[in-house]
Amino acid sequence: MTLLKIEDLGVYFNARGRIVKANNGVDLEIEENEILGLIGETGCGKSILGRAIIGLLSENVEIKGKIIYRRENLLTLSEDKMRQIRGKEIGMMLQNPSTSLNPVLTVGEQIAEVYRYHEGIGKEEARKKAAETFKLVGIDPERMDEYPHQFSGGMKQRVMIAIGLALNPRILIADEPTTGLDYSMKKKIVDLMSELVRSRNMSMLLITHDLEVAKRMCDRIAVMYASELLEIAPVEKILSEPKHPYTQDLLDSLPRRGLKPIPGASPSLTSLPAGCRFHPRCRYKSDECSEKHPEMIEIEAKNHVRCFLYKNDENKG
Amino acid sequence: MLKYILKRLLLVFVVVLGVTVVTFSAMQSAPGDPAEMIAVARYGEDLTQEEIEWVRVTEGLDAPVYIQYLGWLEHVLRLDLGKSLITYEDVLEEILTRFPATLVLTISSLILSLLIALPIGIISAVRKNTIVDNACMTGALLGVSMPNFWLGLLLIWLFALSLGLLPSFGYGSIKHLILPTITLGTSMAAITTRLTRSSMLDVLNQDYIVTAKAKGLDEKTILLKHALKNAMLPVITFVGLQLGFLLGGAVIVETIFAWPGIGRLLVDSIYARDFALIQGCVLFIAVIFALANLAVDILYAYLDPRIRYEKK
Repeated sequence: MTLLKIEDLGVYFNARGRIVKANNGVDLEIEENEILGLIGETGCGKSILGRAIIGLLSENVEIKGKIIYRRENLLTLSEDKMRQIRGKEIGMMLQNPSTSLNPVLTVGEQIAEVYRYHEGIGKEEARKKAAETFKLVGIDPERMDEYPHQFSGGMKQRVMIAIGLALNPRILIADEPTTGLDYSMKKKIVDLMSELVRSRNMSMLLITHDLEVAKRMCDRIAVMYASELLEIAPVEKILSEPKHPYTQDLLDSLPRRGLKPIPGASPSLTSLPAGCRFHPRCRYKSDECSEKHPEMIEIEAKNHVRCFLYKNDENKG
Repeated sequence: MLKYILKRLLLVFVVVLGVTVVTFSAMQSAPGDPAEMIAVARYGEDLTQEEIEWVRVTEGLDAPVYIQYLGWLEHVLRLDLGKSLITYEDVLEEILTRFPATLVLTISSLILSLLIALPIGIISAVRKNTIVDNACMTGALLGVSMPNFWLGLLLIWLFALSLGLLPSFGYGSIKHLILPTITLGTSMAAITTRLTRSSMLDVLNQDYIVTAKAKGLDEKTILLKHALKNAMLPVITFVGLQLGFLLGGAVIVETIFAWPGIGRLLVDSIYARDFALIQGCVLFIAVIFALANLAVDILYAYLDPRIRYEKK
C-alpha cells in the first residue's frame, strides 16, 4: 500500500532574481513498512525534497505538483493542519545534530515538550514518556537534564532519533543521519534506526549520499541528480544491475568498487543543461540526449529509469 | 554555578583594584601642584607659600607616591573615600545621597526601553520586510539618530512649556521622573530594538528552529521558548553595558532636567576641581560598572548552559 505519493513535484527558489530549480518533476511513492533511500550528491535537491514533504521550506519558494498523504494534498493544507501532521504523522530528523538541537534547553525537555504539546499531558507524565523514549534509543534517562553540548555526536544523533520517533509517526524522514559519525558509530546508529523503524511498522525516507548506509538499511533506492530522479529500483537490483549511466558511475566511485570519479561537476541548479541533465558527463550520450528531455519509464516491475538507453514497449508503439 | 559566580566576583575585585591604581595615578599626573590646587580651592587665589606647605603636610602630600596610594587604598578599603576638599562633606555620604536619584532614573529608563524594544524587535523579526517591520525600523533609526539633549529639550518644550502637564526639571515625584525617563528610555530602546531584531532573525534561521517546527509546535512556542532565550544572549550583553553607563550617571540628561544624580555630582566636582570628590565618584562609578557586568555574567550563565558548565 502506498502511504505517501509525490506527483510531479517542482520546487523553485527565487534567489535574487535567479530561479533555483531544486526539484523538477519528482514522482515518488513511499510504501507502508518501507525504508526508501534517496541518494545523490550534495546539492542535488534531496534535502529540499524532504523539507517539501513536511512543509518546511522558506517563504520565497514556489511549489508545484502534489504530495498526497491520506487522500489529502499536503501542499494545500492549512498551516494548522500541517502542524498536526508534523511530528505526529510525519517525523523528521534534520541533518547535523549539533546544530539541530536547541543549545539552551535540556535534551529531556526537547522531547518531553512534544508529548505535552501533542498529547496534552502534564509535565510529570511527559517526562516519564520522554524517559521511556530515551531508553528506547539507548540513552540513560538520568541524562535527561543535561544539555546538548554535554553529549557526544553519536549521543546527539540518538536524541534526534528520539525526537523523530517520539510520537510514533507513520513516516520518518531522516536527512543524512550518519554524517560526522565514525565508522562504528555509523553502524550502530544505522542498525538502531532500522530496528526501531521496522519494529514499529513505520516507513522511512532516508536521505543520504552514503551508499553503504543506504545499502544496509533500505528496501528501495531512488537516485537523484540535479533536481531530478534518474532511477528508482529495489536495493539489490540497483546494486547488482544499475541501469542509469549515472547510477553505474556512482557505484563505480565507491572505494570498494575502484574509487573511480565521475568526470565533470554536477550542474548548478540555476542553469540546468537542456535535454538529459546528466548528458554532459555521460559516456553513452548521443545527440538525442542533449536535445530531448527523457521521461521516467518503468522498464521492469518496480524499476524506473530516466534514460534514452532504455525504451519500453509502450514508448516504441 | 556558585563556583562560576565566585570566580567572577574575584575578577570584579581585581578590576576594581586596577581602577584604584588608574584613578589615583590620573589624579597624580594632573597638571600642577595638588597642594597648591587644594589651597586655591580652599583659600582663594591669594596664597602664601606657607599656606601651600600647610596643605601639603596636613593632606599627606609630602610622602612618596606609593605611600600616598597605599594610605588612600587603606581608607578606600575601609569605605572611607575622604572628605570633599571644598565642603568638607564626607565623599561617600555625598555619593550615596545622590545615587538613589540615578538608580531610580536608570531602572525606570531600562524598563521603558525593554518594554519598547523587546516586543517591537521580535515583531519586526517575525514580520521581516513587511510594512510593520519597515515602520518599526524607521522609528528605531529616528530614535538612534536623535541626540539626547535635543529630545530632552523638545519634550520640555512640549510637555512643560506648551502643555504645562509636567515639570521641566527637578526631582521628587513620579511626574518629575517621566520626561527624563522618556528621553533616556527611548534612545536606549532604539538600539536595543535593532539588536533584538537582528539577533532574533539570526536565531530564527538556525537548524534547531527547523527541528522545533518539525515537531509540529506552534509559532508562539517556537518564538517564545525556542528562539527568544537564544536571541536574548547578545541583547543582554548590550543592555548590561547600557546599565553600567546609566548607573554611572547619564550626565547630559541629568543636567538638562536638573536631576540630582551621580552624573551631575561628577560634573559639578570637576568644575569645582574638588579632587577628592572626583576620585570618589570615578571609583564609585567603576565599581558600579563592574557590578553591572557581574550581573550580566550571572544572567548569561543562567540563560546559556554552555557557560554554566564551563570547564576550568
